[in-house]
Amino acid sequence: MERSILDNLGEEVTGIVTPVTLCMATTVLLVRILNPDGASNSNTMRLATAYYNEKESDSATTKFEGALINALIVVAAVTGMTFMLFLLYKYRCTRCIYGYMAFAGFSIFFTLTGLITLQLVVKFGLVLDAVSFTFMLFNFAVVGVTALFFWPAPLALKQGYLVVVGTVTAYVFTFVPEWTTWALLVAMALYDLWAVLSPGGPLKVLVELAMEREEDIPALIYEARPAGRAPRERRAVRGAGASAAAVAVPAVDASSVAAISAAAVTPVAPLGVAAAGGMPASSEAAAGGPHDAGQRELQPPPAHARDWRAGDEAGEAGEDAEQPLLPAQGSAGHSTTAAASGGAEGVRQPHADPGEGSESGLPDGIKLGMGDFIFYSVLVGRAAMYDMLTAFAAYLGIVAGLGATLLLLALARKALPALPVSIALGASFYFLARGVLEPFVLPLSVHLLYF
Amino acid sequence: MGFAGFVGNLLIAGGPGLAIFCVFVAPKSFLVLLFLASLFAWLVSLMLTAALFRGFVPLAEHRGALSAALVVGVAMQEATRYCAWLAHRRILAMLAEAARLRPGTRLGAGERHALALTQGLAHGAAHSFFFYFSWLPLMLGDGTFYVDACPQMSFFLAGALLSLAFLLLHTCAMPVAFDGLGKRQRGQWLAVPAAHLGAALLTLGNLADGGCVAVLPLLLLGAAGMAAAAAWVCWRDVGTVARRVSASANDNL
Repeated sequence: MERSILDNLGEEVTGIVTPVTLCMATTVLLVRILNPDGASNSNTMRLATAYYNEKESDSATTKFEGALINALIVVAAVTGMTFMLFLLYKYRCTRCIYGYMAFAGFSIFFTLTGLITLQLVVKFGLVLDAVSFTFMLFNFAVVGVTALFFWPAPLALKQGYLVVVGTVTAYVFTFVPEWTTWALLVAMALYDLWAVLSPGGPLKVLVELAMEREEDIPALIYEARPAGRAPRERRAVRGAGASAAAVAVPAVDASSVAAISAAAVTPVAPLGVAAAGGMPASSEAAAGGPHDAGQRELQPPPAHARDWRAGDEAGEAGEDAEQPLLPAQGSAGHSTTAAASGGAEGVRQPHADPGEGSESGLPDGIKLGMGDFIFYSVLVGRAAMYDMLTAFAAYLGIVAGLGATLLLLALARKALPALPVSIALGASFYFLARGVLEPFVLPLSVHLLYF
Repeated sequence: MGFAGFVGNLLIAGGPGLAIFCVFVAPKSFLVLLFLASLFAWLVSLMLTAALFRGFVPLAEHRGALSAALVVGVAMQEATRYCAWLAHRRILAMLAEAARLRPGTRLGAGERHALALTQGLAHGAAHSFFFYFSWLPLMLGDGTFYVDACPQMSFFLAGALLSLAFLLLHTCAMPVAFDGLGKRQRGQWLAVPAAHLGAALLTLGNLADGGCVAVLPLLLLGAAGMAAAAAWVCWRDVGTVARRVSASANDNL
């Protein structure tokens, strides 16, 4: 019985596009429910409004200059944090890294999520007592932290928690004033470009170090695991870039709404879209940590990520006996975000043999850093504060940019920054929709004239 | 009323589109990606149309300007439909090559029509979203709007029905058009732009007070007609394949 050629084609890409869309959709939903007028709150993101606090009455020039300086401050902080992460990683202070990751993750899942949920409870007038609420929230947070960073957990659970991280952080970012938001997005896109592609970029050196050591980079990465692949189609890939486990990253938690006084900002090394070519079934996405979750099925959890890979290969040996073990791959470029967990990510891909991977050129699994999720969602969330028309136009721009980045990934076969193209398209489509499309469409639809 | 009305109008305008998406597009990742790419292309087309009129906004409350906007809009969309056809041919060539390299896979009439339907749905969805769904959240507030064209129902309900008609029209027009272009049946592929222009000009009836009484039923009938045409086109191909298969089975017996 012949199968349709359309079956299974393009699953790697929808595996990434779907969670990105989900994250953006939930951010837009939160924005529309809780903050439809786009009220900004400089207390929410002190780092982003350190120099200039935007006011409606200021002139455009003042706003522009102030926003630019604010954005530069954030980028400088991100760069500093990335170098700090690099130094911690270089001198093997992994306990510090994972300890902070757990703290930041807990603060996101407990404090930020709790505050947002409280606002939703109040908004909808739900009847919920404080004790039950705290109990459920605490459990949610603890499970999230352990699933992402410490213990093996089902892939869907990890992916779900990562989407929550993206949504919550992006929602907090939407409190940054408007001009500063746009300046920040553009600045982060440019920073991503530099950090990923230039030889001296902080993310590049971090990744190269991880490649040398054949370890996972500490980072929050979302991995799309393709479904329905026969084991023999997977290839054992060794190397930092190849690790399917999304390494937990110290979440940069700059925002801390009110309750927490400026949690330390840790850079989340946004790893780009990493093509995890042919991850073995046992490896799981999102969260390396000292125990690599994926390996439980193959062998007792190794104490270190390095062992995981060896275990992987052993597990795959039966099926992939003829497959050469690929050399350690590096993924290039991550941009770190000081203010958010994640950060701009490069599209990352293990240096698989050119002959490997799907016919489309893309490897079997693609990883995208949480930073990319967050900044995409911030853009769409900010667009939603104006109008749903602009939000949808921005969304389509971002998805088109992501598609273009993935195409480039298939061609370039190395890590690429995932922010620049998407932010460029998303932002331009936002402004074009606002200035060009809406004045045309609105009169027509008000008069019920469609075409 | 606000939220219930919102959901109700959402389902009236988007229910069939969502159903088509879930049944035909969502199960195949490739079609989902094609849908998104096509949405983007139709957005660019709308943006270009809007850019042409940028110098004239605010569009005068004048029948001439609004009619011109409709006609130019239809012309741009049909040009984009032709570009979609060229892309469709390219995609078919790529998929045929992929099917050749993967034994046991096929690229048949069903796949061709699914690709056309996906592009059509993207066209319809893009228009629905920018013309109607963008404004629907206004209904969540405390009041509603009425327009003189349709005093019998709220603006949102009238818009939902109109949006539904156009969504079905656009979705089903693409398989008909692509089939006509592929088989070089001029009558078939010319009927599509004609139907599109006719539907757009019919909405000009909404400029008259109470005009929607005539416009909405006619448009919905037109959309149903286009859906029937698309069904006929696909059924004809399936019938041909089925006859061929059974003929070869009979030969083997």
